[in-house]
Amino acid sequence: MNHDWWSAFSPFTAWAQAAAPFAAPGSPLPGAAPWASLATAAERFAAAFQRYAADASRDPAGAASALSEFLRDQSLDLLRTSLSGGTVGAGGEAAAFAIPALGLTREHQERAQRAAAAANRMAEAQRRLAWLWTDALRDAATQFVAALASASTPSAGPAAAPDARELYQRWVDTAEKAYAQVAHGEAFAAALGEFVNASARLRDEWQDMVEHWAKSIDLPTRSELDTLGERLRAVEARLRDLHAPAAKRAPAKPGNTASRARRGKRRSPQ
Amino acid sequence: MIDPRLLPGLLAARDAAPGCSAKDLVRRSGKVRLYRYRPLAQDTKGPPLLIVYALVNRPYMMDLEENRSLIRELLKRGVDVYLVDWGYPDGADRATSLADYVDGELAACVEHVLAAHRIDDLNLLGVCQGGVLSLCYTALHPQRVRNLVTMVTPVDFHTPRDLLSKWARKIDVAAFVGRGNVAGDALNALFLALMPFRLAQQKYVDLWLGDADPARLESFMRVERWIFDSPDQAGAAFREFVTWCYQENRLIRGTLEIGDRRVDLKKIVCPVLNIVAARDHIVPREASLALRDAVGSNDYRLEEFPLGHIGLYVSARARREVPAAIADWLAARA
Repeated sequence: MNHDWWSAFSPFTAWAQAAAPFAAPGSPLPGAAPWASLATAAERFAAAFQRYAADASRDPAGAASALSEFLRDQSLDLLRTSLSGGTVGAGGEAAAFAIPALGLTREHQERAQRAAAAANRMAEAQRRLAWLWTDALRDAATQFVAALASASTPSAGPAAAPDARELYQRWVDTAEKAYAQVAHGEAFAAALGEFVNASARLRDEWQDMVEHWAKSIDLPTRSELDTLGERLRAVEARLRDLHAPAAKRAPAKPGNTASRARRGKRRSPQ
Repeated sequence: MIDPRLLPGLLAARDAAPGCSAKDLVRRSGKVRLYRYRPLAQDTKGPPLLIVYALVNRPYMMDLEENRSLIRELLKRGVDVYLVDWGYPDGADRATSLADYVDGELAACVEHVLAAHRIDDLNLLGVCQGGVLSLCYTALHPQRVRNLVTMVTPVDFHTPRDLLSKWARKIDVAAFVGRGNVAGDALNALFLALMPFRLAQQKYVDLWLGDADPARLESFMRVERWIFDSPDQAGAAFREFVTWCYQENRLIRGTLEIGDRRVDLKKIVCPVLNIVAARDHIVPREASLALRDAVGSNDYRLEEFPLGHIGLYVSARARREVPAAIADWLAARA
């Protein structure tokens, strides 16, 4: 196996090194911090391929497996990051609310219980989504490593040294295909739907809580604004009706529609 | 090796403003604005063209920069261009419905143009969701539209490759919208999730490993701004659009109603040009191709380009071919 082409990963390493100082806290470039994770990811990506190159001739199966695991892990990190804003506590908190609501604060307890139930549903849906993601990543990594290995076998002849970006492009193509396979499935759509529906429920409960407390200190609430908005729309509609006859344009000449219809009958060449 | 000029170049490009063609505000109603672009050709041909963009993104993608402007190319070819800008809905617009958009604002914009030119009908060009609004308007007011152009417009929302539709059908839309609007950020996340490796990762790797040409970086920043400059969606209109179109597929089934009037696509008898992007990941080509059998027009033309949803506006090939296809088609029907 010719490993020379692994040196092609130097651009990734260089990119990571170049971006790191700008991404650090106190960077001279404001707003560059988000690049830190990308730079780190690039560095890990290059290192994983170097490890694979080093181990592949000695232990092909082990090296392939390690690279697959790396690709799954690294890509799953992206999901964790993207969903971190929606991560909610689950289990313990909900259990504390799993008792009948009683007494003076009964309504408030019930609202809190509903919110906790919605949070649990979100967490469960998030776990299912993460599981499906790992399925996609497992498939992508397996397919990618298999293609890589077959391109490097002696029977396939000397492998041309692929460009690092070309290799990365291949990985992205493979990952997108594997992801699309999962994302089009019923299970993914169901989990995503459950996540969205549960988060909507949680938001509604929060809105109710905020509205309750706003009323208690005599602040205007969303419901009151909505009521005023509806009244305003009704007034506007009434005004439009009153002014409509005066502002209305004369209808189009009767002949126009017919002539257009005639024009429409012509079928233009394709 | 990373180009050392890249980071400074990106910093210099970060405020690159979109929009390159001069235009005048000719009508304003609430947050909706109607613009007329200043001509770039000696003579204009045929009735004016009113561009109806989607509600979910900003319309400046149509005039992003000199080398990537569908509008500019149309102007050069003598098309008199108007554009509806829906603005940024806020909490006060949560009850704005599809009927308000189609029969209210869009109808008012059409009437304004007709009155200004003293004509009875105009040309309409609908983009993506704006294409759906344009189809609705044309079906309800066929006498007002001389020629209809649809670009990357979904018509059949239940085609097998439509990932957005598969996901949308599992969502309780009324609960999702709740009593408010839908955040543009939520839609951004949804669109990224359609192709996460390519849209959230590879794009930036390509940026960093590419050259530091200032024009390239400015273009990148303009498109990047456009992608994430997503207005919040008026709650009622969003709920209606997703429920009626994505979930119930009413447009193609002929059961869609706007303001108590049925949208019958067979009533569209004017010439129709349907522009489709073959590699569209948001509106699969099959979703657009369904238009042919849905409309009543006998003058239907399909123009299909091997491009993606966004490439249809910003790629070099699009610049060469799409404006010419539209302008020539309109000129033949002026």
